[in-house]
Amino acid sequence: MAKRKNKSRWIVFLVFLSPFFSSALTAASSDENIYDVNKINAELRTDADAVIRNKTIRFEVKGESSAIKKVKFAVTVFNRDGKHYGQLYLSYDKFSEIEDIEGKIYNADGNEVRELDDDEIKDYSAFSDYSLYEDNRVKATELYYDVFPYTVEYTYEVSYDGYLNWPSWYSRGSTDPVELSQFEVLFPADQKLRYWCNRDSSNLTITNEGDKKLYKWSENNLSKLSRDVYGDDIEDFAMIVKIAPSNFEIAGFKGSMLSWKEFGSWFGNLSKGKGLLSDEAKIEIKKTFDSTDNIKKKITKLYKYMQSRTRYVSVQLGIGSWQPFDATYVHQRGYGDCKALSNYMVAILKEAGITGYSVLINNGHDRLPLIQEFPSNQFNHVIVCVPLESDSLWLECTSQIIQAGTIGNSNENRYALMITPEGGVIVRTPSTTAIQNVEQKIINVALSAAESKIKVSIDWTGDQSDYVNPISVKSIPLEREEWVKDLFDVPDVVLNNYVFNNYTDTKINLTMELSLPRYASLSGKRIFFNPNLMSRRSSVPKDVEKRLSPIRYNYPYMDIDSVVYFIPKDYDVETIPGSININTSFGEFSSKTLVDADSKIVFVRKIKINDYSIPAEKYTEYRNFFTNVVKADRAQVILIKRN
Amino acid sequence: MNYVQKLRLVYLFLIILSISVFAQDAPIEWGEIPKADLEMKTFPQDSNASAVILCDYGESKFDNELNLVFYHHLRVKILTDKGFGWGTHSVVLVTKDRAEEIDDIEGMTYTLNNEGEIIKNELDDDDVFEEKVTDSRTRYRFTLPGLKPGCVIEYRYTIKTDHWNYIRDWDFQHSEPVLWSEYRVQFPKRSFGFAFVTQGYEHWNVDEDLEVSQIFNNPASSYLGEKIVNCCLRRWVVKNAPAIRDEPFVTTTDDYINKVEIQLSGYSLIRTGVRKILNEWDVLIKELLESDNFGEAIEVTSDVENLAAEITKDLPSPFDKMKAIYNWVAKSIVSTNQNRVTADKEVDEIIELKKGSNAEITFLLISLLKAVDIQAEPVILSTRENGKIQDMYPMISQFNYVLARVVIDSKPYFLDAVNPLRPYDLLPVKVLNVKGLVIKPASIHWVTFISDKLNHSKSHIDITIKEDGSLNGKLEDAFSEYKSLSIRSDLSNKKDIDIAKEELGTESLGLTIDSVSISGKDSLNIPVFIRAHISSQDYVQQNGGIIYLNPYLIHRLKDNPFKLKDRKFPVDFSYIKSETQVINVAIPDGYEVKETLTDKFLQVKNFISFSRLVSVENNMMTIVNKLDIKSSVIPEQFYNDLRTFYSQLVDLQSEQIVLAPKAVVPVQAVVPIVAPGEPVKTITPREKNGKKKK
Repeated sequence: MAKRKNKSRWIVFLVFLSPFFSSALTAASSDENIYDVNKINAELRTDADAVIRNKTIRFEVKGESSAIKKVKFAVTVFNRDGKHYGQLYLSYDKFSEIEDIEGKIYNADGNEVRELDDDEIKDYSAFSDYSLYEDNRVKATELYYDVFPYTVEYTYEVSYDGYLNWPSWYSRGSTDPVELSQFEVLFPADQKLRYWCNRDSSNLTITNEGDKKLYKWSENNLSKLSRDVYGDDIEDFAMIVKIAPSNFEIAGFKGSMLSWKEFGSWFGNLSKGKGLLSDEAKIEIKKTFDSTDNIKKKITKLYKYMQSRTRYVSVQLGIGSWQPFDATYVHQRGYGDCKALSNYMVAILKEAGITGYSVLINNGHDRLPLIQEFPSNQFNHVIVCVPLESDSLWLECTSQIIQAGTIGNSNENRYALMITPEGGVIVRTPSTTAIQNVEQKIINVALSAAESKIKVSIDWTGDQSDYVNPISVKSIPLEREEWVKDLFDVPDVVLNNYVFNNYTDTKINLTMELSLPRYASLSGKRIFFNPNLMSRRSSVPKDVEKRLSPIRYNYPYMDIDSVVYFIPKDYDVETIPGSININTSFGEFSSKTLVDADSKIVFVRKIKINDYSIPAEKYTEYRNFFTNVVKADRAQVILIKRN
Repeated sequence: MNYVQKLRLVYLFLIILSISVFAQDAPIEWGEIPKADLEMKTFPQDSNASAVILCDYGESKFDNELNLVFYHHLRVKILTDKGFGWGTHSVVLVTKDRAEEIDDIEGMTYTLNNEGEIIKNELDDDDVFEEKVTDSRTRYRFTLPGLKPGCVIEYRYTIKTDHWNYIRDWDFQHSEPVLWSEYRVQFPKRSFGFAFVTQGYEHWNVDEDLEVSQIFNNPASSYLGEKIVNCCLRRWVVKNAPAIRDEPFVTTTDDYINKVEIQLSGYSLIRTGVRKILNEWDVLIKELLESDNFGEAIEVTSDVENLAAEITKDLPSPFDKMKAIYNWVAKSIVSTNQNRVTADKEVDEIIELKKGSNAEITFLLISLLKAVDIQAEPVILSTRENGKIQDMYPMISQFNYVLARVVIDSKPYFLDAVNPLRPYDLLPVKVLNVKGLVIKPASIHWVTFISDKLNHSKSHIDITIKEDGSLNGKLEDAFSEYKSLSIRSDLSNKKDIDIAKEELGTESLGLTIDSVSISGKDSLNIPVFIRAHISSQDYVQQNGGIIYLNPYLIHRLKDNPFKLKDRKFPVDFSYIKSETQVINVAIPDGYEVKETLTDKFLQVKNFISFSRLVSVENNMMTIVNKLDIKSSVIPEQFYNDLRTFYSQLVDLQSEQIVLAPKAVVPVQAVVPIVAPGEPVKTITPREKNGKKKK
């Protein structure tokens, strides 16, 4: 900023030292004072760290490849905890440009204190750690003041040259109260805007503005929410509106989202001619399988071949975020991202006379299900599906270690868009049940106060093996040993030997022998130990007033522990924990400790969660369930020395 | 191996016996990969290696344009796919005004096919990505094609610069083992001077200072005044260096690896005359003081004067003024988290913008103090994560942080006003135990920042047990200065009950907090203090009238923080601290103590100790625990003892008290016996540890 004149600085100086005085000085100069703090509804102000005064997104569609988004964001900050609203962080890429960032600070009376200067805006490249290259960049700045309350206001414009995604609107993005939040979409009057709202009754108004129609959603006076809702999804307490183009163009590629079929065609067209392989590659591929192999065996061999030749490297440049590298490129370099590797896999399959398709999917923790009635880009990942007579075989091409047919819990149990030559088709990925995803431990303990000797065998199946698989095959010994030791919630694990047996990547066994010098605790003539050696749960779900969203799991599961203790001959059992057995609609838990003959104690624990999610209204029951689990997992066996 | 740290400081103009030699060949040649390297399957010396750096070679040398040319050639054996990371490389250059330029990037992957033939896969020029990080910096990034476990990769490039002070430093150790690392620096002896600082634990296989001749053409020769120029060749080689992997409780592993740091100290060319870049400390101090973005940036402007007067109004003592100014700056100016020793903006702008870098905030603080006639000066330092300072050469590039030193009545205070939650007298952990240089005229004054706080955490718990096994407790928990700071930093918006649950860890033990009050959340000068009433129906385990109780309801150490068997570097706790915990257990009427806890004393030399004193009187058991970390740094040779110490600590906090109904004896009004029930001198639980030797 150019140096200000001394006088104006002096005023600023007074302003922050003495708000009362300053208001007297400058009040006359401002006419509207819309950000006067007193204009905020008293209820919203109570206890607030910050109040969102105005969050307006105005999106104007200019044509099939151009649009402008104008944003205004004004927040009154009441204390230090609200100061972060002064930080602005805007990302952009090849298809968007950020213009006219303006920032202002107003004091409590709503008088302007200062303006953001252009040289306070930083511009730098920003991309995810997993990428080799992306063209994403960021403009960022920050505005602060030191006399509370004050208001920060930002306005900026984003112009789009080519688009696929249109902005979404969340009435609120945090628990802080909101005075006004609105979404305006200016759209050609002769066309129909496609939108989706998470609420049944959206307060949409449509008015004419020139030759366009103005669609408007808004919410106001949203009160502060309790912090407890942080356990919930924002989708549950915010109103959300998503809009999507019908016809669009990006980097010269025209497409339509009027149906899944058409959107799929657009994506399919991007990889037209990208599936060619060199002659040398073709020969190699033919060598990987025998003509007598059945189709599943062929696919397995081809998939293994692809895995052995490639690794995941992400390069996202312009339309490259959507268009895969061609198969030759991947073959030559031995790397690619999800769409490039999938495209390569499809090309390899084709060479063997097998038809596979790329599938667009939303990978990750299953947050929001696919909105089927609203064809639009809801995807972040690509996998491959090979439709077979009875069943389909699914291939996740970014992993070098999993086997054909397993796609991991971040892909399973959801709708996705399969890209066929005829266009997009909605398909559902396989799901699993608790008894497929099991962790079973069988443990033998020769208990001693000095040093307990232990033998353990653990089997993981299904999704439970997802986490074990990379450790068992990819990690360095140091990490692997650390990981194995961390399976015990006990200090000082002396690992004598351990071995992983990966029967398949979804059935893994770990067998080990170890000793625990500090497992049983000796106090005088008594020995104390927790019979639950390896599966202690210590966290109780939060105590919340009202849960809004379902409790989501990555997958249903079942854990079974059976531990046999051989206790020292000269000790008797003084106390054992009671048995517990809980059955609910969402899961079951049982834990029991039995004293057997011959100085033997047997502990058996089983926990099972039936489904991918538990409804919100069952939250209290769910919390009680786990409170009881935690309690049971804490109980001890007490032995007493025979006189 | 003896890991006593050896810091070797090499003097630039120290000339040994100068002999003229021909330049030696580089240790490896491009494209010549020994078959054995390709056939290598494992690396027996280090089973954790996922790659082995076969050779890392660098040289810095002048060309005919008198550019400094840095050549880097790296060759790596990749053993497993975890080592693929070595196939991706990035270099950041200063590209503003083309200060640095990268050239000739080449990369190649070599694999053996089934027939034992070498397959080459070359890096395509199109696959080198250029990323404009900021206006002045560009990152070049590439990944090699065709990586497979077992392959050998190599890449090389040159970086050319006419900014001689951009000369590259060299690290000889990395996260994977290095078989050969070599760096050479060659420069015209009469015309250039460089200062070299070396450090490290590993043996230097070569550390030589040779005299060689280099032929220069125009225009370089005209600057140098001759064609055949006597050059100084510095050469360092480290062979078979082990991998450096992260360990907890260290400042930064950078403090322990072998490396060479270099700075241009001066030059003398025909057309420029003598230019001294690197001077003595006093000259560096003088230059800083005169610099626009350092000494001159500390300016008592009229704005500063007015502001300082307003802040300190009605405060008579300089000490109170200092505190008021510190508090104002810490609360009003937001730190933008940029750590560097110089300021971009003037103090008046910082006052207006309400945000600034660490240096800008410190300069404003000093200006305000000066405005009210308090002696204050900047102190420059290198934070813990930035690595130790070598004070042999005045290299400004080593420093990354500035604090203020204030003197009132000849007592010095160090202030760092970037965090509104930290009181004036508590320094950030990142500056503790590091050295700083006070920047004031005509003196070279080094200081070390040590926390003078006792960091004493105190807790007091009263436990009452009822016959039905229910527990009631009253607890008071006062946190140390640094712990209070971390709690305050994490407070935003939390309810007292949630803070208490988190800090006390009650939920997982089945303890309910019935009421809680927390003080010291907002006031910075008193510790965070939690008072709570707790209760539980099931914390205590009970069976047939016998009651089992672990009295360590809170702050129980459940795991040993030191998990690794061996350690190479000292353990650095950052600061000393102590924890006292007093636990009173009221024994229910009619009950007697069947098993009690016993007195304990553990220590590792004079570094750390723990004591427990247990007494029973009038149906009240009192357990007094005290942990003292008396030294912030514990040398690595005591690591095993320290690890055992913590194991024992975990053990003795898992011990239980056993209470049982008294045998049917009439209850007396006065209980005269000190130790009821069993003879107290039973076997103490941890005697077994005394015998154990692992």
